[in-house]
Amino acid sequence: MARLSFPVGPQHPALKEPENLRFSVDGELVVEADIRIGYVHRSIERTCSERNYVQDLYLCERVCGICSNAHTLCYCMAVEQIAEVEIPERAQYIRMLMHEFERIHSHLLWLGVAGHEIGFDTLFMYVWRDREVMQDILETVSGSRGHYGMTILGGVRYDITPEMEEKIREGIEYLRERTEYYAKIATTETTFIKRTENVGGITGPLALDLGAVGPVLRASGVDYDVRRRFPYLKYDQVEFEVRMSEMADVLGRTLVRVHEIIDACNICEQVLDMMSEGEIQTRFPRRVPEGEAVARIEAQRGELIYYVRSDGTDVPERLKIRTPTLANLPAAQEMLVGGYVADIPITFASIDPCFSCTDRMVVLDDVSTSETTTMTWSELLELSRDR
Amino acid sequence: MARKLGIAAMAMELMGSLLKRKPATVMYPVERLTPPERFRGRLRYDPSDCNLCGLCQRDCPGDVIKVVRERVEREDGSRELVGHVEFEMDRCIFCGQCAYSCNQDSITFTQEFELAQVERSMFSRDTSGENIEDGECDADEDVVP
Repeated sequence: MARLSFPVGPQHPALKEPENLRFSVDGELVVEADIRIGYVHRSIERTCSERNYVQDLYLCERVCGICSNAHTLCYCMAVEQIAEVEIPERAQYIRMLMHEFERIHSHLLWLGVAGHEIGFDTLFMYVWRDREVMQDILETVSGSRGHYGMTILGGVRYDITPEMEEKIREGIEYLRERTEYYAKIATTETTFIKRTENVGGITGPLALDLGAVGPVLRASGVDYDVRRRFPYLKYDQVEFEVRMSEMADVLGRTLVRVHEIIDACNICEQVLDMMSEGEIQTRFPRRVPEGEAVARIEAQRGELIYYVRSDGTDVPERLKIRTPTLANLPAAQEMLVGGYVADIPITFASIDPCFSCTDRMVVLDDVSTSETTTMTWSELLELSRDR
Repeated sequence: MARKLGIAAMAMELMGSLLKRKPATVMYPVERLTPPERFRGRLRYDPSDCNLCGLCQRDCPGDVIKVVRERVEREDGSRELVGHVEFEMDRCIFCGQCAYSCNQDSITFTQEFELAQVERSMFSRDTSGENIEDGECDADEDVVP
């Protein structure tokens, strides 16, 4: 049978963000897949070099709407590392709480989207209704449902009051119970299993070779979690299991995420038990000393990396972000090949992609002439407007 | 068999929750939820204590705030800091950094959340304060507040 090639996106009802997928199919089977990105480039890294460290905090927060706190946390960790500032213990615990709250709401959001992608809209509605419990907690603690503004240079902006602690404990107890129920559905519900089992498979060694991170990598049986391998904040003091699955398919990724929600609830409880009274902020210099630092955290989608270089002023000289979706794209391409056309949405969604986070601009220097290219801020603005 | 039991269990759960639960949504705009205490709604600027230090302007990520100030000489020879603060609220991202940076509590956020407008020009753009007495100006403070 002749092969047929077709594009999906950059504007397509199945995709919530602009990206372009090009498929070559033989009947119902995908034989080639190509993922093209670059449609939502926002010059965030370059803009960060034009603003001071405090303003960059909010710019980094807006790299992603779902993992906004993960970005500010990673950014702050990198800048605090250069400035050699250690934040108070209570601030570290509150940062951990926010980090895990965000993991819970993000994984619940993904579970709902996964249900929607396979036509299981009841699951989508139920999960998103329950996710509101976490959204309410986040709003109570930080004042916002999306961009929290909670993590700041030198600590956190707000403290957790005893009333809030009570609300958090009630909320996570409810969410744990509900998530256990969803875990049961994922392992017993026929429709769900048929649409996810043996779909979008990728072996552990291949996923590792392709640089996959986060739940995608762990669902292929690779024991890699930054929280365990390179503990930050107070993760070395809490007990949690690095959730893995040997299934290496969409079902495996679902189970890893669902179990991570339960783990996140347990971590939150441990953190609340361990938290002692104290300061939540420390003074932070406006001008960061000369130096460079790399910070890495386990964001909900996988390993997030920030590189910051300071020249001693109040504006970073260079800021580089490596988001987990970028790391997972080569693996996603591999997952799509050999699968059915009907499984493209759920397979692609199984990496929990976020293209707004991912897009970075790369200027390729002409190797043949050994010439390098440097663009000024105004040239870059002009280029973005021309496009 | 186990899977069939799973479906039956889910059906029971669905029925149970339908009978027990209230609707997850509210009948907006007839019914309104009260935002939490820390919610960042409409920005309120109180010029009475503002010393025009400009910390809010320096830290604002949206370039919303412009502190217009000048020192004028009084008749008795003393100097007075005069000015006002302008807000371009159509650019505000409600991060709350200005309120956090303000040492005088001149900027606060209220719980008012219905702030949509049909045109950019309808957002408040200027909040002029009264002449402000020469105050402590710590805009060059070397520490993030």
